[in-house]
Amino acid sequence: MLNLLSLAVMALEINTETVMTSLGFMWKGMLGIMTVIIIITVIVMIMARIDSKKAAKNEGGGK
Amino acid sequence: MGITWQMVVMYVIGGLLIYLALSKDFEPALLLPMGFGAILVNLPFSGVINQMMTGVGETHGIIQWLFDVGIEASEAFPLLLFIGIGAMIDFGPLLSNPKMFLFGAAAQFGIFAAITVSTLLGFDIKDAVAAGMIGAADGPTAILVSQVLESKYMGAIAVAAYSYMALVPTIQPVVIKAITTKKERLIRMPYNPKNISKRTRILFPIIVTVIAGLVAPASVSLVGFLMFGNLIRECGALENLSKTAQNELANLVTLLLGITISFSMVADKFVTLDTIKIMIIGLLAFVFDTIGGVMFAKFLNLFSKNKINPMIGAAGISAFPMAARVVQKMGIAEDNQNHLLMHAIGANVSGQIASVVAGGILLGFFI
Repeated sequence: MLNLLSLAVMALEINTETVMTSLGFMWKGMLGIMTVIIIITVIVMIMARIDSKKAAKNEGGGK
Repeated sequence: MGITWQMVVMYVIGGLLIYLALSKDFEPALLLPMGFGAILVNLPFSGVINQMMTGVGETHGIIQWLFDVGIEASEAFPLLLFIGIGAMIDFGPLLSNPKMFLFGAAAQFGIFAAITVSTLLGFDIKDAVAAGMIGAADGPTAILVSQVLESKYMGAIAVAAYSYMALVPTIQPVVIKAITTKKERLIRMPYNPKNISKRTRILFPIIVTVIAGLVAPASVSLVGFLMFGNLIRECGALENLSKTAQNELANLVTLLLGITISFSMVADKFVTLDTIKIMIIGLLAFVFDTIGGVMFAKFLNLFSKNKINPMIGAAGISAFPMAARVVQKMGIAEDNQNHLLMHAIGANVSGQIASVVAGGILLGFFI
C-alpha cells in the first residue's frame, strides 16, 4: 500500500513538502480567522449589552 | 507574428465572457470588460500593450500602463474598490445577531482546501495560495493576493472568481442538499433583532480594522479600506462622500479593473493546462466553502439548545447577496413560513470581513 502511495506521489509529481506547508496554512489560517472573528463578536456583544443597559436606564430615568 | 491558435482561443473566451455577462447576467460589470479586454490584448502587435517598434523603440500600451500603475505598483484598483464596497455594506443585520459572525469565518474553509488541492496538482505554494483565494468569493481580494504573491495566473484566477460568484445559485443548492437532511433544512430560526446604536455602527469598522490589523498586519490594507468605506457610510456626516464611494468611485474603478485585468489574459500565459486546473480548483473552493459553513452549523447544533438551520452556514461565503438569497429561497422551498433571509444576510456580510482577513493572514505567511 505504501509502495503504491509512493508511486502515485512520484507519478503525479506531488511535492509532499508543499502539501504539508498547505496543511499548515490550513490550520493556522482557520485558527487566525476564527480568533479575529471571535474577538470581534465578543466586542460587538459587549457593545450591544452596554447599549441595552443605557436604553433601560434612560427608560427608567424617563419614568 | 500572425494570429496564433492560442489567440483564437482567447477571442472565443473573450466572446464567451461577453455572452455570459450580457445574456446570462454573470457579473456583467466585470466579465464584459474582461472579455473585451481579452480580445484587445490578443490582437497581433496590439497597441494596448507595450510593443517594440523598429526605429521608434518601446511604445507604451494603455492597458499595460493601467496594470502597472493600478495593480502592479500598489494594488490600488482593488483597494479603492473596497472603499466603495465598504460604503455599500449595511452591517446592521450582523450587529443585531452577532452569532452569525462565526459562519463567515467557517465558510472560508474552501480557500484552504483549495490551496491543498492546488499543491496536489503541482502548483508551488504561492500560486496555490493565489488560486485558493478564489474561494474567498471576492474578486478584489483574489486579485490583490495574486498580485502581491506575483502569481502568473491572475487572469485565470480573476475569471474563475467572478464566474463562480455568478454561479453560486447553481453550485450551492446542490452541495447543501447533499450534506443536509430535510429535517435540518426545515429548522426555523426566529429573528429578534436588537437595536443597534449609531455609536456601535461607527465604532464597529474602527474596531474590526484594529483587531484584524493586530492579528494579521498584512490585512490592514484590505480590511482598512473596506472598513474606511463603511465608516464613511455610518458616520452620518459624509453623506456625499458615501454616495460617491458607492456609485461613482465603485463604478469607475470596476470599469477600469475589469479591462486592466485582461492584461494577464495574454494568450501565451492564459491558454495552458494550468488555467483548466485553476478553473477546477475554483469550483472545488466554492464547494468546500459551502461544506465548511454548513458543517460548522451542524457542529454548533450539537451544543446549542436553539437549533441553527445548517443552510445558514452556506451563506457565510462572501458572495453577497447571492448566497443569502440562495439560503432564503431554499428555506422557503422547504417551508413557506421559514424566512431565513436576515440570518443569512448576517452570515453573508460576515463572510465579507472574514474573506479579507483570510487574504491578509495568508499574505502574512509570506512576510
